[in-house]
Amino acid sequence: MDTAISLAVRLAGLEFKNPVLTASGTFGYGLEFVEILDLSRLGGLVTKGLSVEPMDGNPPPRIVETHGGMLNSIGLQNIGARAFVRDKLPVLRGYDTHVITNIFGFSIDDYLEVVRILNDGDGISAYELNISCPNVKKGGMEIGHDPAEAARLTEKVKRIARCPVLVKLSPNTSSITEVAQSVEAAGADGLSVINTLLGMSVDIYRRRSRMGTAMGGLSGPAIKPIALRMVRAVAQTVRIPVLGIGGIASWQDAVEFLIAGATAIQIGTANYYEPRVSIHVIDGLAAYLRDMEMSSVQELIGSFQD
Amino acid sequence: MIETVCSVVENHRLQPGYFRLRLRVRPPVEPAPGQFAMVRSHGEYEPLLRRALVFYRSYPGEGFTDVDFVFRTMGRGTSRLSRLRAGDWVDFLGPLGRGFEWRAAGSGNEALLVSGGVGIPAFFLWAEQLCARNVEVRLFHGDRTSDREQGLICVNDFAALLGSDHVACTTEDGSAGSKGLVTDLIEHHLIAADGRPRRIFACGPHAMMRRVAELGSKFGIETQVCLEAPMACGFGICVACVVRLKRADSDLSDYHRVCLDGPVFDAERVIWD
Repeated sequence: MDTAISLAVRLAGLEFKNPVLTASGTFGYGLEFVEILDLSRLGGLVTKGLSVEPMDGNPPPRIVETHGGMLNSIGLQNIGARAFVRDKLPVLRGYDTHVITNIFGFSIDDYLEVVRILNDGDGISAYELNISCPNVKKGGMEIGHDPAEAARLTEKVKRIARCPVLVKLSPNTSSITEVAQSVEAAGADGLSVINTLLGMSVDIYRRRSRMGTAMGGLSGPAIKPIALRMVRAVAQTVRIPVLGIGGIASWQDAVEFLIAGATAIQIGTANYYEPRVSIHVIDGLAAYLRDMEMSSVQELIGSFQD
Repeated sequence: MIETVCSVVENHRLQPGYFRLRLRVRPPVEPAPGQFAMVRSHGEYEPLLRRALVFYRSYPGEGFTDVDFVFRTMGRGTSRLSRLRAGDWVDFLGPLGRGFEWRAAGSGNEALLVSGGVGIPAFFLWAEQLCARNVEVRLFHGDRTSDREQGLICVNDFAALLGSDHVACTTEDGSAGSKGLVTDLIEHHLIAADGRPRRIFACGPHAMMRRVAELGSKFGIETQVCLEAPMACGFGICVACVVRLKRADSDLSDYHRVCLDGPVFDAERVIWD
């Protein structure tokens, strides 16, 4: 790679070697990928959402493939924050990348308890608050749709968190910029935009959902235009950095999000069907900057011309 | 597990709707019986997800392995795979999952393989391996119907390996083998059998495997089932392809990933809803 080109970005007080991260729920706990790619090449990775206790998740079927995407209703099955700190984190520390833990709870107290558990772990760069998962009946989702509640949670987490706090926003609200402003005022260090879009798929013979639940979260290339619009709207509204997420599957997609105002991007669903996609995006981004005679990725960020 | 691009050696239509795809994989891979790969036409993202195919046969070469898959066209993904031609490129991730096991703790020297429909390819590597260990292998295979000209898929390969007296077939319409269900065939065999210890391995439709699991339990025979579930990734990330398993030490149960913890499980632990 050309050393004259800098992919480094600064975000939430942290230096990232490049703006390419992997999104929560699509990268396991990171270690599942070590046979496939070098984790140390990534700007960072975001873990599967962690709750206080291990969670069993929703009844199958949990996915339905759609045109250009997929619906999921996993229900946040995870090993729990304690097991993550005990079993995964010590191994992850061996890699030179930022580990961001996604956090989920059914109440504000739940979130705070996860933060306390993770505060004891060594090697976590930031927390990402999941206030936007569409697949659990109570908890995160209502918080994500209510600017005041989102701010209350952010403020309480910020008070005890030992590292920067990102908040992952829901697109399933008419007021994503309101929630963004509200959590910024409450002290959030960055915003992850967006989580999955609520969707449905109907089995026409059984007249029921094709998943174990009535609704699921739509992800994949199909949602990219919506995600881009929301990233731009949020980036224009707040001063804190935005991490763009939504259907990114190539370096060209990543460049679009950076131009729209994202300081970094997270790759989600593409990890499922192209496990090395994050590496391709990093390499492609560097080549693009060279071709465009730019010396730093910073020149791209928010460079959208009206 | 490797992620690579490999070439299509041949793609042969066995009979309407059924194909046998041979890929040349570099570097060499050693698929264990019951393992699978996630494949798609190279660089094509419509449909988005790779398709999981169980290894049918494998042929070691110099610096590569030729692997065969037998599949039925079910939807957009498998239809695309059916149109692959020699020389085309395929994205390959594999071998994946935990396959069949012959546990030292078990007893007996007879294996009963029970397959339904397109479940039969999951057994060929296993049958080969068991034969090499001098295990007596019998295949019981059932399908709804059979092709008028070609008969039942893969059955001739098994007859050549095991001897045709060790392969019993049945179809629901009686067009090949006896008329009826494969679960009836295996039940009659177990009733008539001499009580020698043996093991059962099953792969097929959900209802078939559920019945085989009941029979295994009723006759006190160790039974392993090879499951199928919708999966996005195939290597444990998406947590979509779960099956509920009883815990060994209590009445509680948990979801386990078919792709990573399976696809082969002890039948007695599976909760069949």
